[in-house]
Amino acid sequence: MSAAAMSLLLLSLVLSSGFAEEASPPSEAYAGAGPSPAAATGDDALRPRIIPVAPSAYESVPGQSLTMWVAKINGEPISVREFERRVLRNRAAAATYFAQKHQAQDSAEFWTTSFDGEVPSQWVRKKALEECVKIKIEQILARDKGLLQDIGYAAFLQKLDRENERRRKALAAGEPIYGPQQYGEDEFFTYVHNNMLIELKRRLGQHELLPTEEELQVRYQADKDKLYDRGYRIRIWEIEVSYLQREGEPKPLTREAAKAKIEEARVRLDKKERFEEVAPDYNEDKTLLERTMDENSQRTDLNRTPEAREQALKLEEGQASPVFEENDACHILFCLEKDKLGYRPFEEVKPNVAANCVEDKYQALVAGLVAKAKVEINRPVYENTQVR
Amino acid sequence: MQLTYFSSLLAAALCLALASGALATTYYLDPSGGDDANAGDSPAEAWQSLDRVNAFTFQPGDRMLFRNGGLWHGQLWPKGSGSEANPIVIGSYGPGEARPVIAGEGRAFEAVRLYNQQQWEITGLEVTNHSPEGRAPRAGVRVLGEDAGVLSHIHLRDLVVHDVNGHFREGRDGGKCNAGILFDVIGSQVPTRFDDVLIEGCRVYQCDRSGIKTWSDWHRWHKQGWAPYTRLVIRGNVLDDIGGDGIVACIATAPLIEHNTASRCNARSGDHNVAIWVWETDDAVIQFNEAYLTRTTNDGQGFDIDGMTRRTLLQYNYSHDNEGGFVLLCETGHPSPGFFNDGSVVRYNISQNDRARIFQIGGKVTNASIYNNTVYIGEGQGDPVVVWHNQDGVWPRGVRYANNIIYNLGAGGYDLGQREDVVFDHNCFFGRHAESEPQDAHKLTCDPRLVNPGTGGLGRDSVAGYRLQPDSPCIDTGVLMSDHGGRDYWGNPVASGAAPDRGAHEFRKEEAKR
Repeated sequence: MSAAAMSLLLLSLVLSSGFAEEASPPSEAYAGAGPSPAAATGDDALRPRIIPVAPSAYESVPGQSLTMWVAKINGEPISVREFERRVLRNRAAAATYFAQKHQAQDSAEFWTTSFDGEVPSQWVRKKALEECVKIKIEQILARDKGLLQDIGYAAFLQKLDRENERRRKALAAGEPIYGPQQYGEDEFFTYVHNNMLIELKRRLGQHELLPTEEELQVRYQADKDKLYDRGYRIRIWEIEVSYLQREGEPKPLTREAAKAKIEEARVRLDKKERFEEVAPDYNEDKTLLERTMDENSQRTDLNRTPEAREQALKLEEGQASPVFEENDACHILFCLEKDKLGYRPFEEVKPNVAANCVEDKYQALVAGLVAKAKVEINRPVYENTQVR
Repeated sequence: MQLTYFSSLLAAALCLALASGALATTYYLDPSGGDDANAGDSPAEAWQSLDRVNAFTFQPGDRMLFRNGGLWHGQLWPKGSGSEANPIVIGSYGPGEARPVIAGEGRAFEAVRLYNQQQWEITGLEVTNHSPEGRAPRAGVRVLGEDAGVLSHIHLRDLVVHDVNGHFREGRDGGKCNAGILFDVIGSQVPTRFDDVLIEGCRVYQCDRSGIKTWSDWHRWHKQGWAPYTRLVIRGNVLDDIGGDGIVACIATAPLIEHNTASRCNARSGDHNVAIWVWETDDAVIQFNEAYLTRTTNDGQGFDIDGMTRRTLLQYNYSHDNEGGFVLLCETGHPSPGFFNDGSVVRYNISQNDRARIFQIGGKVTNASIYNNTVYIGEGQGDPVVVWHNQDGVWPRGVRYANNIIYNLGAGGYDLGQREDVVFDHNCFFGRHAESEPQDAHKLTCDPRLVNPGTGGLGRDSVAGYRLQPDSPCIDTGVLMSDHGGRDYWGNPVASGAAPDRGAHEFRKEEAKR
């Protein structure tokens, strides 16, 4: 048996592992002991398909889907299996595209029908190939940097095998694992690739793609409104009339009564009574509620009192807001002070600026390499890859 | 008379059969070979369309199988509820590795829906909900309850949910309910909650704004009281490339979030988001997860114990390369006792090359305990602040840092603001020592002798470099913590009556011999 066939066999064995059936308390290792309902009924159709086994057209000879190539990118082969995983990933997008544009529904002929000259199988293969080209270019870069030795898909599958085997053994031994019990092929590919890119960008960012001071300054200026603006510090006074029933507390006002009550306050403010004299008459604890909104409170302001934040941002010093409702209470805000905090200084955010710079330069590098890539398509194989 | 007797007997038998699921049927759906005029009860007699399924009320024990490779457009909303002994199951059948696809195309809020239904198990589907007309409030899968009391046993397993272009701001909870997988409760008449929710082994990618989320109108401040989810388990899911938050469990007692991997969260929303976090929960447990490459410093951490939480346990997680840092503990400083973040515990985690601020504690956080974590900050990682306390109305009060190893090769220091009962004890600070490094009566500043720090990569195996060498000064020099969980990051026992090691590893002599 070839190594590749062995690998497929191992993958298929993984299929038989079931997930836990019941919601369970915190587990010592991984609470995956119980059989799935599907396993209990003996119905294969319902088993969780952690790792689908490819019944590729090219699997009539075991391992062929790994040795036959669909295309070569700068001389590096993309195997049938690698390509077909990308096709699978884009099937749903194809379904959506052809339904939207051509009102196409699924049928026995769907994938091979021409819709105004567009054929779903060709569409999905083209998308898959584009993704494969970019990935292969990134893998070649990683290999050049010494991060990967073998960029073939068989090597990746062996890595997946080893990882899942390690996880299986750890579970059996009661040792902890991190992340899922078993990785599926596609998500493990994403996982490996993401982590490879972290290191690749780190290395490139220290040398080839190291941004110059000038580039950093340009990037900072371009991004500062969006990313580094500290916004305002606004000191406000507040009138709050609640109609919220809190646990264990006496019955509050009705919403209508609360609205009527705060309306009284508004009328007094309109008559130019001072806010600090009016507010204590309406606030629950008879005090002047004061609050500061600034960059420190921004996330809670956005999460908890987004309306109050919006209202406060509209106010100038000395202005009161109209009555508004939020979190089961009626409010009026008064702006006591409003200071623009300016931008976070360049030196403080330099690491972020640099990371964004490296990311841009990296994407430009890859786009350039993709544009220049020599893509050789093995037409007979390409046209026969599985799409259904 | 006799007829009536037999009729009753028959009715009773029928009821019994229904209750036991004995009359349960397996239905089949095939978009290319099926026909809605068929009986549906065999592959040869398969139905064809979602309309047919959506018009049908399933009985306890029924199964609805979608043909592998099939494509359906629009919304799947099967009707009916199962029973405790006989849930209704959705799955797939037939050859091929292409899953059945439900492409929502933005025609409805969600591509797959359950509403006031219970005792369902959904598995094996691929779900998208991408509208070419752009973003709007939407989800891939939504399980919704409204004025229905307790809705029990919804298990979602082995689903692939992707390409949901939900809106970043519009929709419930400021757009955060636009998610790949959403459980939500609306209504105001009957306290309603889900019980026995399992989201397991699902793959969620390219979803906006959130990945997996639970939400409810029956929050702590609801007029008629809190109705938290119970037996909520989010396990073994893999999330990647999520616009905002990855996994957010809200409004629940004792939710369990474990063995998930979340990467590239907060990729697009431009707002405050975290890879894995909880809000309005009691006794949440977050463990054995891996979070990496969360983007931006609008939060942007791997993990977060957020507001209105009590006794959250964050342990045995691996956090790396998150732009916003490792962990956030926070609560607004509003004076009401209704706002709290109390008794959070962060222990035996590993953080490698997280950025910006490793530990951020903001606002009304009380009685937090952060111990036996190992933090590695390499050179050129943007010099993150190791510990940053920020005021949000009030300062954190009662935070204890003990037995941690801070291996800091960056130039970042500590910004503790106004310290109110903030204690550092028995920590090991190694690398660059900023002037702001806190006092610690039992501080170690020598090399902790980690096996090979900074070499973490893929998964747990890769962080073996954070174990202690046999001659490590961290061995047996920590301070004993009560209720420490009894094990380290690698599963080694931690004794309950002796001084533990510092860091996430409890050294065992047997290990050294291996």
